[in-house]
Amino acid sequence: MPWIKQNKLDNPSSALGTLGRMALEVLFFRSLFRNTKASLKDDRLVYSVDKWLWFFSLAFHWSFLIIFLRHFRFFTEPIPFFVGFLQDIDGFFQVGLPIIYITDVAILVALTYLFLRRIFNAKVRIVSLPSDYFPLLLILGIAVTGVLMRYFLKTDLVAVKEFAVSILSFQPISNELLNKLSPLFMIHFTFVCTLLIYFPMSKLVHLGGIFMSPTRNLANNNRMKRHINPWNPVVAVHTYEEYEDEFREKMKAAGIPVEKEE
Amino acid sequence: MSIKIKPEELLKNVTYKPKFVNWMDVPVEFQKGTFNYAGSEDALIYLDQPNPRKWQPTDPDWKLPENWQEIILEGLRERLEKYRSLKIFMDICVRCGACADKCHFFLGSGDPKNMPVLRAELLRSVYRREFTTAGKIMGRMVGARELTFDVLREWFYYFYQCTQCRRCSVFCPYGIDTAEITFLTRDLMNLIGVNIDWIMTPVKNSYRTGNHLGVQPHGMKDSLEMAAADIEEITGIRVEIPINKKGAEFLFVTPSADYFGTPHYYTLMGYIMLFHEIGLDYTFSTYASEGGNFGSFVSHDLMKRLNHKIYAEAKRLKVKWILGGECGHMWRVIHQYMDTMNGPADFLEVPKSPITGTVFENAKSTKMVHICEFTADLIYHNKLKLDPSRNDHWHATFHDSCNPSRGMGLLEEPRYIIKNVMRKFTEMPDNTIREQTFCCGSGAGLGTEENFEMRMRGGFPRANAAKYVKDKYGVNICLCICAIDKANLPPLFDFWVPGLEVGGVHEMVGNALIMTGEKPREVDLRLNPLLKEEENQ
Repeated sequence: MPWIKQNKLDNPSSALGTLGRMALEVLFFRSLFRNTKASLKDDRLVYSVDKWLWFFSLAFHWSFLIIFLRHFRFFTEPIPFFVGFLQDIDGFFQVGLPIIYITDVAILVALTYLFLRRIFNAKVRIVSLPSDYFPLLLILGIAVTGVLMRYFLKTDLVAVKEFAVSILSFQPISNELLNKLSPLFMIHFTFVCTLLIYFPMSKLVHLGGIFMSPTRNLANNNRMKRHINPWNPVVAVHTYEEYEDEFREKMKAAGIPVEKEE
Repeated sequence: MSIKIKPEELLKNVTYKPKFVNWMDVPVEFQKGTFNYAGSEDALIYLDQPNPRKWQPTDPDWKLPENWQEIILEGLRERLEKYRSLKIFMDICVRCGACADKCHFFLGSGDPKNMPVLRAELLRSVYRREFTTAGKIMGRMVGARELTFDVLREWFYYFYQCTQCRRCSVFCPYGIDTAEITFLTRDLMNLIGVNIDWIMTPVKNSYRTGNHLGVQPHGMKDSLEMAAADIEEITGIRVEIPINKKGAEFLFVTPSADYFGTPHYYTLMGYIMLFHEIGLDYTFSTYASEGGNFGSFVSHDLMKRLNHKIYAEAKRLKVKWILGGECGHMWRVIHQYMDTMNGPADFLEVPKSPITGTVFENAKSTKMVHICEFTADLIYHNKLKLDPSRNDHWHATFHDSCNPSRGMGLLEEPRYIIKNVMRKFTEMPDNTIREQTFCCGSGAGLGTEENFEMRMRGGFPRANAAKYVKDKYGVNICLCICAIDKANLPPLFDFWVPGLEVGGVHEMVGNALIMTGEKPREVDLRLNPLLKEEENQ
């Protein structure tokens, strides 16, 4: 009703509201932001706000995305316009030389938190599977080798780019080029390949799944609009006639109207 | 009622830091007070459901069909194709654990398998083993396991320890709806005749007599007449209650507990007084005398078979639209499934309030309006004469029932009504109401005596929040708009919060409603004396 305030985001009846809900969920992990922690104190349940999971998972995912985009400079020529922009923002504080990227720090801290959480939070530990630890460690491995290469054990970036471009354009790679690449880079590269292979058949497909979740991407308009079920089954029903046949005498005796007298 | 367990003992061993074990190695134990009895043979036969027999969950042999695994896996395959939700919920979970301490059964029992994530893993592990390559090869490494009898026992125990309230899904970053998973796993178990009696017998009764208590037409009429007599005694006004009346403007469908249960009955009196006062042309039906749908707890087909009656009866009685009473899962079915399953309701008109002229656009396809929407609209347009001081002996709080709140988004309407019919109203803490409301602990067919301990555990978070407002603000009644709540909150509060009553929103409407020609009211609908002017501060 128009005079009742509708929560257009949590309970959207229009496509626009649903889009808003999805966007907030995908970009800012809105559901995790609600997280609370329950504890028992003297037989009383108390709830405290718990935003750590939200904070670190958001930090991780955004960092990962930005780092991924920054890597475009290694395998595209010309370098896309957004890379320079991202680098500037990411190195905003201009600390150290080479300038330390915020995302590099963030991804390491966040991954460490997510990993330790799986081990030290009793509730999460019990549900964690090897397939939960593996991708965390894998990405941690990628991040650590990457950070080492950038800040500590420099690698030949020109060679790396040559290597990446040849792979992407299916050109053979010369031995000479291979010799220029550091072992650390090879480890980094192997981890990335593993991740790419592992990605589509693991829990990492939650990347795509988040867009498909029916409880988030459908509007709440079921009473307004009829939704068709393609396999709507035919079922046996108990008809009014059968019902009246069974109870007719009692209905008549009680003065309830009936369809047939007999 | 079992009074053997005491509240302080119940929480003694509850911890939210479960010991680290591989949960697949922990066998399930059926302890007294924490599970429901098996579906009765005659209910299954009447409904033509698979594998009717006499058995109990504590039996070593459940008398299952020989190829029961095959039946379940085939059923799972079929459902994965039919329900996009199931397929996605099986694949998408990252086990982040945000849902873990959101479930009332986990909060009340500390059993890790009551964490929604692990509840879903019970099914997911079998899904992985049978339907994913990694699961077939890697087995337990990726959380896959075979469907054995022990797994089935675990399913039975834990999927009947979920009330399908969907609180966890609010917190899930992927919106994984455990209710859906529970619903479908129960549906799978039903394929081999594994189900509970407090679902199957009510389904049979609803199918045969129209209501889950199995009350026959004349019994229903008696009950409605008793309500009329009680109303006359309290107000001095004789009301007519139309039953199975053809050509009425609308059909009124409410959960059958309203006719027979207490405190539901006072809400029924409230509806009838309201309809009489504004002169509505309506009718009850004995054939579609149950809004509640126990089939919805267990199987899509059973749900459809029961729900069929509402449209069929509306058609037979040639009404224009349908009005629904205060009920929880009835509204989930009506809101989400009815139009799709049994529609289109093209023989009805878009509901329009005959008093205010408001057209209920939000129900323009289903053609069924919630009583709270209807009454809130009346109050908004000043069509009711109300005296809220007649509810001054009550200080209320409002419990959002899972299904109307999370299931359909009905949050403001009941509050609007309450604030207009009574003067003392206090909300429970924010994270226990509205979308984050806690279940009464006994929904989805679990409200049985034999399951008493588990119900008290599951209801603990709700009771705990209610106790807070009772102790701090002197709240003495918890209002709700669900028949299962009205049945289960009283024993729950007796256990955890003695002295807190339970009532319906329309009971308060009935108390406050000034009826034309009524005698001065001395008592409320429960025959409690009203406060006199001077007593009122």
